[in-house]
Amino acid sequence: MRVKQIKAIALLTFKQALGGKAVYGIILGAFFCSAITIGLAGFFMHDIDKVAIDFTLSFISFCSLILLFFVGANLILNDINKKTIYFILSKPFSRQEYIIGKLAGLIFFCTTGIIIFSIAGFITIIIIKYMYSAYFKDFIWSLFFTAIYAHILMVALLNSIILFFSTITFNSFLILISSITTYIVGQTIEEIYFYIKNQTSIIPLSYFVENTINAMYYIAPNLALFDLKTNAAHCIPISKTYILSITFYAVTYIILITTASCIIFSKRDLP
Amino acid sequence: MIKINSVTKNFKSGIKKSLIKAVNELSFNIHKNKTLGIIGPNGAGKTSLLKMILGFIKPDKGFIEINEKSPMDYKSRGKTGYLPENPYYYDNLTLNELFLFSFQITKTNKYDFKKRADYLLKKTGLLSVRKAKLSSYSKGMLQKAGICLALINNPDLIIFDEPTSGLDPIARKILSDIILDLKNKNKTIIICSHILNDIEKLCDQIIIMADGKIKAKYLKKDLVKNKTDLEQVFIETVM
Amino acid sequence: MKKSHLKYLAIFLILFFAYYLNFLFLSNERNIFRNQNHIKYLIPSQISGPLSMEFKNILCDFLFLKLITFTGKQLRNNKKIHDINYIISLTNIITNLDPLFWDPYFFSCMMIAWNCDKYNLALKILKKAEKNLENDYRPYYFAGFIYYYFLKNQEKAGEYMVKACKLPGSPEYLPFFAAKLLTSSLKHKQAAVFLKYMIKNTVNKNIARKFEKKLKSVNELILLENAGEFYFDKLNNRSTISITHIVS
Repeated sequence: MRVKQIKAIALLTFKQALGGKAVYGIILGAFFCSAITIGLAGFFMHDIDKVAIDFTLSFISFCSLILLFFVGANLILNDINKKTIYFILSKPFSRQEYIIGKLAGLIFFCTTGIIIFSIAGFITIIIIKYMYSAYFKDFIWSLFFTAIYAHILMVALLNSIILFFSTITFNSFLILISSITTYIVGQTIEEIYFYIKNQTSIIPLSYFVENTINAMYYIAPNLALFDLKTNAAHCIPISKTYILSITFYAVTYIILITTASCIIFSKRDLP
Repeated sequence: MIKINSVTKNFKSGIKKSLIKAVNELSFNIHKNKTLGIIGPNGAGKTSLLKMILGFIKPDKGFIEINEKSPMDYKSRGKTGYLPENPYYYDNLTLNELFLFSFQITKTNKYDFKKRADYLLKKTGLLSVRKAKLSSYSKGMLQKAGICLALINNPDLIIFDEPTSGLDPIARKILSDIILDLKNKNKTIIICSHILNDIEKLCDQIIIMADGKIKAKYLKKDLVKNKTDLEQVFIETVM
Repeated sequence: MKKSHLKYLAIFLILFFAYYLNFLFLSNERNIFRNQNHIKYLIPSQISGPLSMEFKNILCDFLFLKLITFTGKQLRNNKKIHDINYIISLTNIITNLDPLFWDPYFFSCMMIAWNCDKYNLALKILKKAEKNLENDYRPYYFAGFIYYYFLKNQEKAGEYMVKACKLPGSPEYLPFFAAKLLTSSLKHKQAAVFLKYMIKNTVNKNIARKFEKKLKSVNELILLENAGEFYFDKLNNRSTISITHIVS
């Protein structure tokens, strides 16, 4: 695998994504959400800092998910549906380089998007902090940025999942549905797993259901790990080992799933 | 040299997954510095064959070798240029940006690359629109952009899939001139087309395909010698 | 301005006016519709929690806004809160989703105490807050307030205020108020122990000096209390004792 080729594809993907008009709409939306946050913060009594961070981080998450599912996912689908993939693969690129380059470009694009949303969020909090300074005594910026970092990890992981589904099927609808389903499962599986684990002593579950949930818990990506919004909102410190471990988890999962994508894609016929 | 040996490709279609034979036990060689024309009715298996040569799809049976390398090996595409039937390049990018992409993966120096890009742009008449987004291009302009991008890395093997479809007579003339120019530079060229005149004018060797098989093979010099009309031959072979 | 532009402007103004009239009419219709079809449904936190995925916190904020508007609407229309169960259920959902969110505990307990006179329910909400906000003085402080102001139980109020004082962030005046509550409920010994604790744990020397002053007066009260007890003991034993003896 050659870094030069991967870099070229990543850059092309990034430029392609930036050229889409939807991106600017989403960025505008993020700034609009920030304005709403400033207005809404005044409705609360004591926990204005918590509410401001809740809103800001949730808007960052929401906008970046839209960016990921509706812009990022389309980048791969367009390559296949509009057959631009022929332009790339008729040049001396291996399929593995294409997959890794595409993933790198997507991660780069989504991270840039999140950074732009975070700037909007940062400005929002600065304004709210100025307006209600008495309520921001415990506020810690580093926790706010740690939550954003964890979100970037989650989006990177989701990028690799979208890419994985794109190698399995070339149907855009199926890719989108599978990716969104994985996101929902990833966000909820931990809660369901522990809930059911506690409940089975009271209400025994069928062997099939219990094992399916157990299997999902280990196979599906646990995206709840990357949700540090509560910590940022309530200024609950996060240990460095936790951040390191979620980073390691995301990186290993991305490598694993990208390897699978490379294997599948190298064996597939293009449409 | 391109070696095609007993290549078969089937596609599954419909709910019942009925098998369609796109290419059936095809064997022939394409020699270096020759221009091969492939003609055939719709569904003859021309595009499937080209896709297999480019490594986009794998043959179910048989094998293809390009300079003794499998088409799936990216090294076999090191000196290949491809113009698809309906070229589509990222709408929101410019031709310049796509040139930059091609430059990033070549070993050519910047000066030579720029010189070649300018030459191709002048030849195709796209010099003034190189910084415009591809979404503003007409179909003919896109076809010309496709030619520039296929030829930018100075390939030794060039594959054209329906290169003149949808082009106006002037654009067709420009493209013919470019192909003749490439021919004079001893490049290996494969052209798939419905337009028999172009094939007759540009190719040294002509293959007529139908139902995934080669129905007839001709050398241009034989056609000229016998004063045979290609259209007549084509109709007689396929019908 | 060109004639064609004027034409477009006129068309636009007419359409805007028509839209505005329609909007007014629709708003009225919608209000009637909403009032006729109002369903006060709540999704339990066991379901809304997993469903909201990584957006639990923002869901809490919106539910809390819903709680505020619902209560406000009831107070505006009826001058009293009728649907107390809805408020309690909604508060429970919010505080299950985000147990560290103080505003809903505070809002609900104060609304229930002030407007519904259901002090025990208010204290129940604060009990949950005590459990979830371990290091926060506010749940104890407001529980103390409810005991002091509504239930007129100075002894319990004092106990809660003492607990509140020991937690970080509590106001500077609180120890004096707690001591006052304990002394006025004749819990002088408890007040002294508490003041000694505060003197030991107060870094600010000025405040510590004030505590010492207060402790001195509480100690004197303890002395009087002891003497009083001694007097009443003797009185019960029917033995005579002089007032000088008690004071000495």
